[in-house]
Amino acid sequence: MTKYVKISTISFSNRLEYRSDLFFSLFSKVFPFIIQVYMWKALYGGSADGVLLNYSYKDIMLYTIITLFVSALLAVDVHYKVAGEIKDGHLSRFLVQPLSHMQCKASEYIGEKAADFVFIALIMSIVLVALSAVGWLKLSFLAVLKFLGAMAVGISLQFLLFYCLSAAAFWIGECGGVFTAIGVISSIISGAVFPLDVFGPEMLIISRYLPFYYIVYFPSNVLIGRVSAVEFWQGLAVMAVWFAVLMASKHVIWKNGMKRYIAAGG
Amino acid sequence: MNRFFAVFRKYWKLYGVFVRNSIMSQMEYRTNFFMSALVQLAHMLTKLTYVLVIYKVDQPINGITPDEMLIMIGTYSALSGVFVSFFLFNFDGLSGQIQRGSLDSNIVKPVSLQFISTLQHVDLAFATVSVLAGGIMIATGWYRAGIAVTPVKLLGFLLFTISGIFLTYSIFLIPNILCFWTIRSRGISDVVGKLWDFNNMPMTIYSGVIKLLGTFIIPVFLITNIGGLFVVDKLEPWLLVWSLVAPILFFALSCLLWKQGMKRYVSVSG
Amino acid sequence: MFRREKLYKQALKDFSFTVSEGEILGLIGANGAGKTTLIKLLSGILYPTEGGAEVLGFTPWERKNAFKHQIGVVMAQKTQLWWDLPAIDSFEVNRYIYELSDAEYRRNLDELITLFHVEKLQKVQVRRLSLGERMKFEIIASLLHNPKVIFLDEPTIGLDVVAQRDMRRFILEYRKNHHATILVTSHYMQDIDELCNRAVVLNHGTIVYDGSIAAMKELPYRTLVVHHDEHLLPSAIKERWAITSLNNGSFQMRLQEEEIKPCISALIDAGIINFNFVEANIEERVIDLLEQGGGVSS
Repeated sequence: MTKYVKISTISFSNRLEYRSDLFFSLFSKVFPFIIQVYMWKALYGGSADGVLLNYSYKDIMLYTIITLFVSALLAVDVHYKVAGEIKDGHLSRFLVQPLSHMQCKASEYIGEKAADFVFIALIMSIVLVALSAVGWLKLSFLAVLKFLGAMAVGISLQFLLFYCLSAAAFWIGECGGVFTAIGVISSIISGAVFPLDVFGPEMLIISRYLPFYYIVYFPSNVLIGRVSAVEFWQGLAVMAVWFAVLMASKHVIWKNGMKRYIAAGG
Repeated sequence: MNRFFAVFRKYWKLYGVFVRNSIMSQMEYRTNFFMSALVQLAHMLTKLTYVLVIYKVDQPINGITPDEMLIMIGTYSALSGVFVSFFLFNFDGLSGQIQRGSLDSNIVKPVSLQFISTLQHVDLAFATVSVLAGGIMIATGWYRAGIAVTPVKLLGFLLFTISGIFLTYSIFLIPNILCFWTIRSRGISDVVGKLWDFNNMPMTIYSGVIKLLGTFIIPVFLITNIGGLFVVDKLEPWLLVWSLVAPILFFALSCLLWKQGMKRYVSVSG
Repeated sequence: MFRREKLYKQALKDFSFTVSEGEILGLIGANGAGKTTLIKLLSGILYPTEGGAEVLGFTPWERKNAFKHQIGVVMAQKTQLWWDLPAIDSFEVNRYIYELSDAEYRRNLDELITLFHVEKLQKVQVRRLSLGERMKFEIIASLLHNPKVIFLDEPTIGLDVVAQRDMRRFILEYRKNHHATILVTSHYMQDIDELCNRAVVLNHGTIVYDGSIAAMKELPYRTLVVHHDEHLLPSAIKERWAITSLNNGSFQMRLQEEEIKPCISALIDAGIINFNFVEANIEERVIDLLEQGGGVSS
């Protein structure tokens, strides 16, 4: 167990050193944010009381601001790393060492996310307190706790999804293009671009049963206060189910992938 | 005059060879083609979500209807692809060319160094998806908005779009020319790129600093919006004039900066 | 924080020479001597801080199109060929750049392909060619427009012995048919020896020799190799003439014309008769010249 903690701490300090990566990614999200602010301002016209797509002006702004941070925190690159290991043959190390590949990668991921969280939490707290001060957001200890809980599970789901995806490298040579495409699409259906309500009520209901819903859309709405207590626990339940499903899928996919890897000479 | 046509023909044929050679070079890497197209498709989907929002809300913004906005967003999509396919790889590769001294082979040839260095590589994979999708958006918006298909409107749209392409060339080349002075141009190119993405929505939604910046200083708005504004008869005269003057201005600026950069290159390299 | 200091290096200093039409000039010198800088100046790639030059009546760094149409440049380790395509496709680019008519292009191309014996390789992608094969195509690409002045910067570098010899043969053959003026830089003495009729030796940016190859080989001394153990040599001989050991149990002596007779007499008197004169070695001569100039830089 300690070896995984060690891996996490190393990733953590590494990430703190190269924090420019994080700031750059945050910075690049600011521009779409500005576009959307202008867009919503124009769409809501003068009437800040209007409701579009189920959102009041205030709520949509809150959503846009919060998802900026949430999606930054959810950035994942484990699939690129793993594909690299498969291609270079570095994966072979895990065949001979008493180290679980997934736990290793997960520990790295946790370390990195923890480092990101330090900065994001700081900036986000300032923003949230400011929003709360102008009366836009009702910040309560419970809301924040629920948010953090949902985020934690959401981050794990994100990791599992992309860890399963990385297995594609066992079968496909150059995965870069596929990964990028899927990454972009996953952003869209997680609600990182616009709230999922934009896809219509039917799609919204369907997406409630998919894991993507819970990665960005769900935690963000929890923080805004649009999720009732019942919905919250329901959501957590669905997340738990997906967690189990993804773990099982990962097991099956990787078993087959490893067979192929070993057959190819490792 | 004859000389002018001869020179034009020379560069026209030369560009044809570049396109042919680029396509053939990539035939080898067919999977790359599909991968690029796939990535482009994914990015297109992101752009389309904005269109989705506009149609779901179904309200005009500053007098422009969703169908009319579709024309401008379609132009943005198509030109994004044009930019990546015809310019991007050359511009990004400039600093590499300078470091490796590849420019030397071309300096001694009787051809415009700027022409070769900035245009020789073409990657059609990107353009295919974007231009197709963009074209469909433009046509759809045009049709749904009930705009007449007259020669004037068609030619006008074409004119403004082509002058937009010239502007694209110049605006995106200029930050990359800075690498002649070994200034890290990456950051500046990225900022220009982000500003370009503001065209995901018609320029009419912007105001204040952004509007000024994008219309006059780094006039990316002029690239994708003017054609659309023209065909829906919402193009103000001053903007019309500026959108025809700016490409010439910025192109001249890019050529000037290139010459300066070359002066520095030939006095320092070795 | 520290400031990065700009290092200025004077590449060429106090420099002057003339090349006549139809000459093949060899430029020799160690790395950093200024050979490549000179080529870049004469082809217009570089701009000098002071001084002037005239090639074919033009100032090279004005880079007039009329000038460019008449020169051809091949630079070491720099390629103008498209990597993933057969060379012929890169030739098409040059064809339009140099505004060659169909007839001209076909004719020149055929001649060069035949000359360099690369008929079979025309359709092969450049990245699959060996270095020697690729260099041939690089040179062809630069000769398609029949230039009057040709600059070859290290044309045989990295090639195996056979390929080097072939390259030299092709260049000579081309020169025979086209009467172009050629400037060659090289590290390899063989290149200079076989290709050029005149050599310029550069050291640290200055010319230390400018003259015919033949004259260069006319050394002011002759080299005598003596097959005898130098330790058994009478001290009188050792004191009078300098000897250099060779590894195989012999030694050599450099003798001025007037010293030859006395030295040989002395050797024979000492009972040493196993010796012979060796031919002038151009490589040695160059090293001499470079060492005279103040040391060879590595």
